[in-house]
Amino acid sequence: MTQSQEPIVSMRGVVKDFPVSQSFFKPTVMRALNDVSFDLYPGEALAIVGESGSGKSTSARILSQIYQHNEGEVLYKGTPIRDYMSEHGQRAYARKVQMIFQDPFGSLNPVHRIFYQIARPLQLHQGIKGRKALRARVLELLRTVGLNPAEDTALKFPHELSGGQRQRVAIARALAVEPDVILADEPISMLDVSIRLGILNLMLDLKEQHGIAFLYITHDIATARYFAERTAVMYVGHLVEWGDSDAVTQNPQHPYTQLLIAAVPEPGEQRNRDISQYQNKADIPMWQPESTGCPFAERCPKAMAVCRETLPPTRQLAEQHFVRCHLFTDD
Amino acid sequence: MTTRSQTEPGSVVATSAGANGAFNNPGRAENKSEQKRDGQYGAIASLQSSAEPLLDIRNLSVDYVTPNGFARAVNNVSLSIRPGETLGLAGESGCGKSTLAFAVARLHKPPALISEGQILYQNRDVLTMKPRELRRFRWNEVSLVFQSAMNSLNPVITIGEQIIDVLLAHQKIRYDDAWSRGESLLKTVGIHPSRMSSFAHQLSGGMRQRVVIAIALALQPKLIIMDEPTTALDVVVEREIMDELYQLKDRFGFSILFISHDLSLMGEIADRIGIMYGGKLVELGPAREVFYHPSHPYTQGLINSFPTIHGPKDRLHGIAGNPINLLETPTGCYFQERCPRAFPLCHQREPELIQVKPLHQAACHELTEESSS
Ligand SMILES: Nc1ncnc2c1ncn2[C@@H]1O[C@H](COP(=O)(O)OP(=O)(O)O)[C@@H](O)[C@H]1O
Ligand SMILES: Nc1ncnc2c1ncn2[C@@H]1O[C@H](COP(=O)(O)OP(=O)(O)O)[C@@H](O)[C@H]1O
Ligand code: SF4
Ligand code: SF4
Ligand SMILES: [Mg+2]
Ligand SMILES: [Mg+2]
Repeated sequence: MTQSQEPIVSMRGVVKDFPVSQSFFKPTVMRALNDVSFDLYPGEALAIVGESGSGKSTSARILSQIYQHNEGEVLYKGTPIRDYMSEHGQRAYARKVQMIFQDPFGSLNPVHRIFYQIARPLQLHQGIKGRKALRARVLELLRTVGLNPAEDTALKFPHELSGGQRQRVAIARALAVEPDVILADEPISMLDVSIRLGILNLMLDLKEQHGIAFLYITHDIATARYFAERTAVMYVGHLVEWGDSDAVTQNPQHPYTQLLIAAVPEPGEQRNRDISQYQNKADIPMWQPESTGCPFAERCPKAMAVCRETLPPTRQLAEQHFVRCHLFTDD
Repeated sequence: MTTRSQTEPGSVVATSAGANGAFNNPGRAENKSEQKRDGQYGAIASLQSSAEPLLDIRNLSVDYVTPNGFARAVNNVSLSIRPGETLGLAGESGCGKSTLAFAVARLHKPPALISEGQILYQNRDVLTMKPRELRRFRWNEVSLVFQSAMNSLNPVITIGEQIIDVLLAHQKIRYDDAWSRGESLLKTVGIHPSRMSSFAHQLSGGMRQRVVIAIALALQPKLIIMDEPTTALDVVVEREIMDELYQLKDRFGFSILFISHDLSLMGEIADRIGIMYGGKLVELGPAREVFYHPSHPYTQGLINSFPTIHGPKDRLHGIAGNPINLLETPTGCYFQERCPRAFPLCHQREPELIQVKPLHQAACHELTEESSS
């Protein structure tokens, strides 16, 4: 992990608000992301880990510009993406930053054969014209994602494939446009256990052999450690701890990360799994623009007065280990 | 050293459920490392117990009648569950876990058909029970919790009414008493009694699943069948629910048939683990044995499919290929196509379960070859 390189995509202090209508007369705003900053480097995977509703998908959707952020900057190779898009066009950005989704069925058009699904972006974005060249490239992509025999797969319809095979098609389609970045939003969580590892290993190969950067979104921190060089832990729209995946998983410092790791099932390890000192999660708090303090304060066994008042600042614990918690704010 | 209070196997402590919610102060704080086994779960003691099985499944086969033939989803499975024991059942999806769970409670519906075998509950034959006896069995002896159960709570009546409906329908109890029983049941699963008047949509997924567990516990059954009860939940919520479940288990002493694809979770909470492949039971043994010294190549592959949070970070290889199609089963071992160690005999003869260690069985020709050579 050489971070002398320039990041390929970055978020700087990003805020995302959604209106929520709890009642017609009292429109409310929920802050789905608050002051989120991270960098993704070429050829590297960054995992965003958190429970459902913590803001993981929103982060990916902002990077892919499905959603617009309210505050902060989103940068592509150091340039604000809005500037990048006005210079190079929205399509150029969309080509560089591809997204794959949890449900591979939803993202494939059921009426077209697999060949068409992959040939289409090749024609649109890559300008591959001749029938022969197109066919060769489609088959090559299918082989890259392990869908052999590629000739057979190309002729099938999505419903004729298993969930894992469909996810491979989705990956092949993303690869077709030669992206720098793949945003993978829970790409394995709907697949069967034995199939998940195959997809993870495929993404590992693509990262290592093709130098593609991955934003890997997951609720499974063990797969984050397996797949990604760096891991960022999200709680209620805030990044609370991030850095080298081993630092975050083997030496977690934020009380929420500690809870998350303690909760992961793993037989035999002699470690403290007691989570009874944490408050039960009756309801996850909804963050609002006027909310103050640390998002974890309600449940944190170590909460102090300051935790309800000010958002903890970022503190660097090691070269590749950062945390936002008042326990590490020294003054 | 403090050991967990352990209920005598089989003797269900009859309290009005939730007498003063022992949940409120989980007394299992400091002495984690001293406790039995690796975690806080499981009662390994029950493994040695010579007690009569609570449930004895003998050579059970369940078929689905399909237009293309019979699909044998449960194939000659024999299993028993002892009082107070947690038996885990794992395997890829489609291996027959849910079919088995439904059949045990005789809740299977066409096109499923029990074609062979016996299910004995305390030596009574479940398959020949008359409607009244069956109804008692289903509610008062056995209860079920399914993954989707949390979505099957009635959206238009309150949580409280749904709980007391169960009590009123199956016990002679006054409405007021049922209501306060309902409140203490909610407390036992970590939900504030004020939630009695909430509707399902007002609760988070984890809370709804807790309500379902409360309902399953309402009549103090001796066996709870849980089919992927926490699969849809976040890991912290899963852990909270498992902790609560095991505190309740300590108190009431019920047995659990726990179905999951998550072998790591199973390794923590179960006393014994059974592994199914293509409807067959291919391995069965003490949880620790199965997890650390799996005998069957399929179990080995399954365990190798899970990245671990603390273990080595080497590349894992898992299992190649896809599960078998039950309508096109091969002669010999069902796992032959995906097995890295298949040899000629595997294509000719079906391997039978053999003893690999005391209490530990597996069905693989390789094991027979080893032991005979
Ligand atoms: N389009 C939207 N409109 C309103 N609220 C949304 C929208 N998208 C996401 N949210 C809310 O933002 C929060 C974060 O959601 P999401 O990013 O999907 O979380 P995750 O992917 O971590 O499960 C949730 O409370 C969700 O309900
Ligand atoms: N209603 C049905 N009709 C035909 N086959 C079915 C039906 N339900 C389940 N099956 C088949 O039975 C097998 C076992 O299914 P199931 O018990 O649900 O497995 P598991 O719970 O282990 O995922 C699967 O191969 C499935 O295709
Ligand atoms: S800032 Fe305070 S409340 Fe938040 S995690 Fe740290 S100690 Fe706990
Ligand atoms: S019997 Fe043969 S094919 Fe089946 S698991 Fe054993 S070695 Fe593999
Ligand atoms: Mg999401
Ligand atoms: Mg099932």
